[in-house]
Amino acid sequence: MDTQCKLKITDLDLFYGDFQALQNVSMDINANEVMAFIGPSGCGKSTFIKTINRMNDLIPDVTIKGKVLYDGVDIYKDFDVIELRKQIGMVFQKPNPFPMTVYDNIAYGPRIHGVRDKKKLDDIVEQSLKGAALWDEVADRLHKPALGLSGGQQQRLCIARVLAVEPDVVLMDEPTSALDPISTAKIEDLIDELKKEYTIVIVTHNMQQAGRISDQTAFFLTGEVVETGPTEKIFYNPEDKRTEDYISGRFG
Amino acid sequence: MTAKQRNTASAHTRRVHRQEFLAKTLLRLAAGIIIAILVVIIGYILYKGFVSDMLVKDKVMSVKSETVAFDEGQELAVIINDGLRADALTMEDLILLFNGRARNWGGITEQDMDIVTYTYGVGNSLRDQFDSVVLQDGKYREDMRVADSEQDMIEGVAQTKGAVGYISADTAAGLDYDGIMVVPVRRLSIILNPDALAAQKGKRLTQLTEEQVRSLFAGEVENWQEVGGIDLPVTTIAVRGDTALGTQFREAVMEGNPVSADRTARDQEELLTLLNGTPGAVTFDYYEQVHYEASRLAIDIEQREVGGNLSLHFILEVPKEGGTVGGISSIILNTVFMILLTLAIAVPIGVLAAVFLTEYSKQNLLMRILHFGTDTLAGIPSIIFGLFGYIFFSEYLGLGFSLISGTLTITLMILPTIVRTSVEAIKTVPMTYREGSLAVGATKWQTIRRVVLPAAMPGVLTGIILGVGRAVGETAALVYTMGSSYELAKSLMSSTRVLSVHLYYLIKEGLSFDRAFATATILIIIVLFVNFATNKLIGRMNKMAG
Amino acid sequence: MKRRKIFERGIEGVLLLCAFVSVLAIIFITVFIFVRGIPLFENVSLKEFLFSAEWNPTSSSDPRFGIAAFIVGSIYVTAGALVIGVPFGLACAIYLAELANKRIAKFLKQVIELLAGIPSIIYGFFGIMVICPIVRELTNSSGYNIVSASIVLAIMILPTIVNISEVSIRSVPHEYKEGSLALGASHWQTIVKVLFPAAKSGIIASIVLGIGRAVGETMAVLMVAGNAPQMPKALTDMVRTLTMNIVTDLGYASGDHRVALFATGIVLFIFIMILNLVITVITRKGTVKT
Repeated sequence: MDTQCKLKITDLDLFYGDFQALQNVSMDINANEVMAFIGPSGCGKSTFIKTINRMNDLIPDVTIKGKVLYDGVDIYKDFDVIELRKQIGMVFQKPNPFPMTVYDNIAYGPRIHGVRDKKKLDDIVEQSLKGAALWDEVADRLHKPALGLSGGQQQRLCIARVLAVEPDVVLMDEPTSALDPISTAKIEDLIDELKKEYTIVIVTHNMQQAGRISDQTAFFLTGEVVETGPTEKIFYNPEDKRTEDYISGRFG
Repeated sequence: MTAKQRNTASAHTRRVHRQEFLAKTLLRLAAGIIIAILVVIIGYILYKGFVSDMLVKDKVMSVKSETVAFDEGQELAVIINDGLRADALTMEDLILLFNGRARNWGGITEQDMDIVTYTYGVGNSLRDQFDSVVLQDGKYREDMRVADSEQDMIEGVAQTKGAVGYISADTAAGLDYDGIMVVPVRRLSIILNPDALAAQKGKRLTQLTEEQVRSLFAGEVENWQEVGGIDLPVTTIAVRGDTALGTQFREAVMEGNPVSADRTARDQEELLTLLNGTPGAVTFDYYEQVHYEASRLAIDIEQREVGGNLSLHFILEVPKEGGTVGGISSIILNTVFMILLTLAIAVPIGVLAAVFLTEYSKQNLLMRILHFGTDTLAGIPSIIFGLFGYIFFSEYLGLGFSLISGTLTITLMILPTIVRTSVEAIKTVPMTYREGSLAVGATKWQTIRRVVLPAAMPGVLTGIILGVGRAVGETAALVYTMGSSYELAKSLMSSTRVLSVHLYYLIKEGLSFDRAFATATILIIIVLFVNFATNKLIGRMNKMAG
Repeated sequence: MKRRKIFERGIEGVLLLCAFVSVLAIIFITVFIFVRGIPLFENVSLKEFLFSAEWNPTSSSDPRFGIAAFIVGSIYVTAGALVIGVPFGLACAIYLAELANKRIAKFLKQVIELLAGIPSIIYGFFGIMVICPIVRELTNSSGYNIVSASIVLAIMILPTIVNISEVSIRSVPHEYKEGSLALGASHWQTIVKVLFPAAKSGIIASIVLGIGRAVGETMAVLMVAGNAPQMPKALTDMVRTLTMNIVTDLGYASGDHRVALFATGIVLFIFIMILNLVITVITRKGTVKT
């Protein structure tokens, strides 16, 4: 199979003021694959994933050095941030549907990108909800508040919301850590389906989850990438001792 | 956005960026406008409070000369005791002073001082000179003091408060005596033939600016219409340039340039004859020459008077005559009384109420009612408080328009402020403080009194200062409860006027805007101080909380 | 030991009493204003009082006590204040909550606090000396009218609207903002389509409080609104509000005239109470939602 490099990160450093949170991070993320970031909590996984869609821009006093290339284009220098986020979507750890109806939540993305036509919006909403495996459950309550859904449903809603803007890449920052096992399983199945059309990057502190769903894995430790590679290799034949220690549960 | 970035953005995205830029600019503009509004309001009031810059109308021009000059005889200089504040006296003032029609300097310098006039004995040459201009109907005031000599005059004026006298210009030139000031005299008036002052088609010439006077006598004005009058040609008349009058006018008003006169008079007598005989004529003369005809012939000159306004003496002097003369010392003291009295009642009640609401708080109906009471009281407009104060304190309790009536009304008004801030302050005292105290066996009240309240002190103090700020600015609630006497309150039942109410009356009367601005400035300064003090306190509270 | 307990109990009683003072005050205010104002309705029907614009209290032959003109005056002047003040206030609130950096925000908040602390008599004074002459020039009228009053009141209600709206916008959960931005919305789109609607109840509460402030204002409007006791027909008409009516006449009114003023106070009082109720309902609804 012809693996295309979707995101190429080179020598990325990130500073919160004087404190260096990411050091010398480099990796390639391929199209239509699931890349998982694992590692103990607080070691920079979430910080790093936010550099890919420039969500760190929201934090004052952040300095970023290095390069993040998306389809070969430097996202910090040569890419409009709004377009970027349209093409690289994000699902957060805690489901965050807007205090609006289900329909309005999904339609929010297309609307802000200029889609006015009601028929088109209806289509997008239906397609996105189907793509997030949520359509059957909410088809009859589209115009009821999204906050009335269960936790797992809300997270799938957030995924559908991202899909509605037709992104290329979907970033997921610990998407199932706030959910029950059944919802988690549903979403893991979903991710497996989604990677056929999208590139997925997922942060997880649940090693087993990474092992189940990802194609590639990167192991983070105190702001550095210790090792990246195919998931099989990382889990069963890691090169770095620290990776082996983490996998076998000796810490973290 | 770089060019490359722009290329990656779709047309819609570019529009979104533009909208955002426009919106954010408007928001910044709104914020800027609000800041500008505050700066303008405070700046305007403070400026007008400290600098008096008014257009006044006077029959005597603003130009002054150090001496009173004559065509023959010695020039005179007017001296006053240096306790008096005057940077010039008009001839009209001098006539009033020496002819006994004024008793108090209040009308002239706004100081509450008795007038003491000095002159020389009959037959003294200086006196003769002086009499020729100031003595108007052959009768001086009876209580004039007579000086034997110039030295005597000087000593007398120097030692007597409110004294005014005169010496020769020569003596004045070399004078360096403590307690005395040589005061310049304003003497020039502009007089018109009555025809020029007549009304025509509803228009009438009522005033001239000093600029217009200059133009007239530079020959630049041909018809009275050009300066706001009726359709009548202008004829300028001037006295001969080598007279004292002509010289003063040329040098002081025309700034050395020649006077352009259509007709010239040899002396002042001829001047008036010419004036009365020539329709549309205008001339200049000494005020004392037309003193009795001033209202008919001399025209109002609009002058710009710039000077200091709010000053220490305004604050320290006592008001007289409805507050139009003197300072506002008694009003300030009244305000202080009101504040102290209000705090004496409101602070204990408010703080103790706050203690109850926080330390003894339970989730029951009583608590909800108490909170409701405080919150509702906070939202009641001041006029309702005023109305209630009038009905209840003034009438029902029979306290009338008095200090106590107004104070009780204000107390109710600021109670919510003190309660709320104290509640917040007490809430932020860490539980550990209380636990520590109770653990060593202190009772609840002891804990509150010795640990919680002291710790909450900055916050409570903030509430008190905020309450003071509100009380000082309050007017509607006081107008019909506290009374309007500007004298120092003698008892709780005295009718009393405070700063804000005083400002209200000054504005209503519209007589002395200078005073209004000065009073408003004092209020603004208090507001600024309250703001400053509460900020410092809040800063300290935040530091303590870490 | 027992004595101490009695003492502690006593203290609690004193504290309760102090806390009760405000409740007592409300009760007294309500009772006295009503008791003194209600007698008007023995001679004048409620309908005439509220809906007739004929106010002629000093006539000896046929005194009339209709305050409709003042109710309308209050409404116009308040509406004008809202039209000017709400956009500015909301703009400033959004600026403070979302745009300003820390230093500017601190400074701007100081400015707002100062504006809030300026006494109303000074606003009135500034109105007379600066705003009325400008309005006079621009509208070719006396300058003492609804326009001037609205401008002055707008400035006075700004702090209320800004402070409460800003707090509301700030307390919108950060996740909503993140979610919106992550979808490719611009900051401004996020503000308008997510933050603003989410802060709706707080913003409405701030506006209602602003209404209360404007309706209750006396001294500032007294100076600039013209005080003509007739039904306003144009924005440049002189107008008198309910509050102005009380303050203007109370000094010399007697008999029924005086009672009518108290009755005017009742109307004001009831209106303010209703506003307070509305706010309580709004804020409770708002918090329950989140």
